[in-house]
Amino acid sequence: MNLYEKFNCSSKEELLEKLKNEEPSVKELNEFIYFAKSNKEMDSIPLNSPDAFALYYQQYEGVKKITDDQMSLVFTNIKGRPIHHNILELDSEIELSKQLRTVMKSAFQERAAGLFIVCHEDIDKDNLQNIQFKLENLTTLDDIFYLNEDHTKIRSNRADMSFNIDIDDGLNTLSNNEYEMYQFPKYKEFTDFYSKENNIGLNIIEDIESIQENLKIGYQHENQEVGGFLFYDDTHNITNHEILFRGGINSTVIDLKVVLDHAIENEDTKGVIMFHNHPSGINTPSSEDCALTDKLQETLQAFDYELADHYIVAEEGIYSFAKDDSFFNSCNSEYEKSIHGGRIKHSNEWDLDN
Amino acid sequence: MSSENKLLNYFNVNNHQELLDYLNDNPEDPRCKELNEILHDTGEKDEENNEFV
Repeated sequence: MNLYEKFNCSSKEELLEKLKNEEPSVKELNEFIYFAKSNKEMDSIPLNSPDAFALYYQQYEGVKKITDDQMSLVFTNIKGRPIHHNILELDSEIELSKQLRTVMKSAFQERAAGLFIVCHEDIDKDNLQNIQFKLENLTTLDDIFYLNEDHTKIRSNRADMSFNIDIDDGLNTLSNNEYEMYQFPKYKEFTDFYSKENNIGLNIIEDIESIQENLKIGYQHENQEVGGFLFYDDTHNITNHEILFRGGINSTVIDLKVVLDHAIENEDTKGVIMFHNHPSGINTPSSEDCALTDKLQETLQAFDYELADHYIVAEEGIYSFAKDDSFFNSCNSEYEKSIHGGRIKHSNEWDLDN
Repeated sequence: MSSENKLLNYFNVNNHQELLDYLNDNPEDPRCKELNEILHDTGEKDEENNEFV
């Protein structure tokens, strides 16, 4: 399949026509074209001050002028360099929350750590606040720039400064007013939030792969151990996703009373899946991990709660006690069957994979 | 993990900057030739319309 077919076109001419008309079906391609054109001159300067962003946006404005019913999102990496552009259609038939959800998901996939939002100064302020609120939860850098009618002035809310757009001024206008927001811990806040948002509502029997993928996204890059719990109800849907413990580089203390408190607090809890990460990147359980799993299962069972599984999240992948440890039996037989691809594992079964 | 973005998925990259780097590093890749043609053609068309600087 060539590029034209990828965008449901039979020829280059048809694709060019759709691009020219800014048809929604080629929006992703147009966004890249705007990015490529605007980055041609700038050679990826870090957007670490309002001035730098103003200068950068001059280039973008030269390529694509957003309309008053659009919002431009400029994503940056953790070093502040622009890596991606998206355009939100504020009056699109696709409701805004769906667009924001897609943005949130792609922000992770694009390895974005920061975000600039650009819109017109006459945008509906309630609408703006709503968008800002949602994006604040998922981004590490958030600054609002308004454009005036003739696109000659932009304003940085964070810096409380206005800038005239004049392409000839170049870098001479740069000040030392640098942002202090490209902090890696904030990137982890974002992945933690992403993981929680996407896990709640998933079904532990039917959505195992998605749950594990979300956990990997959320915690594989943590440089300290975190202990978390997925609480699920009678229908096996996840009702709560909580990080209850944070530790050091290679250990964390799990207080079983705290886990029980949270299970009891959520009246519809039927059981839990525990997870913790290994900052080393290797998912092999330690003897302490095995002992903790047994103790946790025993404690939860005493209060009629299930321990369906215990995951170890690491860069090389997820270790599942229910799947990978022949000595552990999940309290939930349906889950046990599902994670073994539809068959029940017996405790005395030989593990032929190892 | 594959991207939901059709274009990024086609080139197996994560974001626009990676795609730009890929285009520069692999000009002989048939996919890059196609996209470079599109970039070139849209540039020319937009110059006519005075949309690009």
